Amino acid sequence: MIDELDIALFEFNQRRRGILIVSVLLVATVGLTIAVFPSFGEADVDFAELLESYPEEFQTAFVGSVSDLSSLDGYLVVELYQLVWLLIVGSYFAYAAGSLVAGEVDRNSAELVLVRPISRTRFVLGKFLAMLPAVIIVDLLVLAAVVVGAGLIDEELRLSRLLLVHAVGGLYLIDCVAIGLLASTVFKRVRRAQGAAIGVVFGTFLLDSLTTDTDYEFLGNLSLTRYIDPGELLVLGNVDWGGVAVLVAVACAVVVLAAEVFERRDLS
Amino acid sequence: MPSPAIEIEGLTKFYGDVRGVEDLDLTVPRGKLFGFLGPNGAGKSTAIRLILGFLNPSAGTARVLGAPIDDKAAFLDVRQHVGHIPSDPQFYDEVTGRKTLDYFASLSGDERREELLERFSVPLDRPVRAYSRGNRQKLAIVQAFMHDPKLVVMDEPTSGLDPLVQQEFYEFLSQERDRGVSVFFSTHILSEVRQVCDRVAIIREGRLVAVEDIDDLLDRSGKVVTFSSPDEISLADFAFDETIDARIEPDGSLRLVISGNYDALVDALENYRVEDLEVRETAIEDVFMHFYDAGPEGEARQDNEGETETQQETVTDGEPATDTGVSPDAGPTNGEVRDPTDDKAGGRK
Repeated sequence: MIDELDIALFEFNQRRRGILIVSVLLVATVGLTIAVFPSFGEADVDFAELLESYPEEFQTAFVGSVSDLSSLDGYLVVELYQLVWLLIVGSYFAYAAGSLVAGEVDRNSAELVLVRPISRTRFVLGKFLAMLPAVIIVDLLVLAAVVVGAGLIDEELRLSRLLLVHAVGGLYLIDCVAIGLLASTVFKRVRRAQGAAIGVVFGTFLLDSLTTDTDYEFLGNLSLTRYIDPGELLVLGNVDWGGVAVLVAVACAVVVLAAEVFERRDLS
Repeated sequence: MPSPAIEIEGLTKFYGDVRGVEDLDLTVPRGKLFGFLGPNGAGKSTAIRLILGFLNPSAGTARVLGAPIDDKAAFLDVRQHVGHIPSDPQFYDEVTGRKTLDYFASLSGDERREELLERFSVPLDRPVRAYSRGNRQKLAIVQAFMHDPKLVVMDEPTSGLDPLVQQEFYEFLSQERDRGVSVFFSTHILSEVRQVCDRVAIIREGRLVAVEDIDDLLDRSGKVVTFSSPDEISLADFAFDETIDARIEPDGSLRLVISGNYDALVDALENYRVEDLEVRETAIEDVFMHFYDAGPEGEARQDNEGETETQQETVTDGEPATDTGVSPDAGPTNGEVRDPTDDKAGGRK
């Protein structure tokens, strides 16, 4: 395992600054979101009615299964987890992972590594492992920000449910990384790989939203977001273990596929 | 008997319809400095990338230190003993030279790092982004040799090096060869081949056209005579048995390549007033020209009968400084492959 870890560590060290910036932005987003919540509750608007008035597709996409915005957990699901986490943070990790392999192939540094006794599979695995600490750091920092933010506005959140949403949410991000990694091995240009990775995460997100409760709902099964429901996790504390299993299986399968693709491919 | 450093059999690579290399057969023995010469676009880099397993061949195979490149496990093990300098090596911009070497060392070792850094010093604690082209090249040399490989494969390794470092590098290569290291490197600079290589393979348009010992090549060379006269020079006067090549230059002077003695030449000159006369060693360009003209390779011969555009494929350096043994640095125009028959372009007198 040593070589993979060396590759992962080297890659991670180069990404520290990016991870720091994303973490700061996300913590700030969490801070702002939570800071707005008290005034949100005081406003003279019936949010249940407002939610009802959204188009159905919009509700599925950005509201999820939540129907109550007046509690902090429901509010966070809508404002933070459903939109920011699943769509934006997910896209970011897919984008970031898109350069893992393609970045080295694109600028030719891959040759300097792969001429050594490192198989391409281990190279790909090392690159994948490099992103795991990034996911964990972002995940935990956002979790901490939510806990601290809720404390500051004297709202209660159930830590156990918060941990659930971050555990499954972290798994979802790892899947996004895997998708980016696969794109990174398929495409030789970084931009294409990153574009494809974002496209898949974004596209399947929409696919899930747009097909829910239609005749084409089965198409949404192709979407990662079908297997994670922040509302269920945070508001109700229900874990969809089948969904978790799918997320784990997809991550493993996609990483294996990425390694296979890269093993067979011309490097330049 | 150890296996040869590199054995290439029928190696072919097409990119779609575009030929990279075709039906390459070549054996690189151990413990030699082996040059791989060809103009830009001849397929040198493709061949090197195939040998190192970066590309999948369309047909054929190769063995590196005995390990077939399509036997993944064997080829993986053997790469511990292989070093590589890619053309225009790229590292990680934000990472310092030291950390870059640490990284490579973690993957394949670095017994000789300090010794190499003394010889090819680079600003180790600066990020590679701030490196000059020459420093990047030196870093590439260090990483290629620091794990004490048995075989080093290099793609135009001296581009970007200043002449002094280039000399140092040539000397270093000779010493490595004397230690038993096999070196295979591509170049389009003939002076480099002459100065450094024991043996050379010549590639053009994706095909191998010759494999020769450098000494044999030079033995065939003869001398180059340049002669100008106020009188009109007739080529017929200079068609001796010893003449390998004779032509009238655009400025009216005669350029003659002869081997053997000068008696006939001296006799012929009696009929002319002499404005200028120069006899010099054949530059390796001339040897290659000779080689293409008279060599046993039917294909080369055939190609050379073509018009100028095919002749331009002929390998030549043509930089005037080649006689000093130092190829002039290093700009993008360095060592451009030129038409050997066009002395204006070659800048020679």
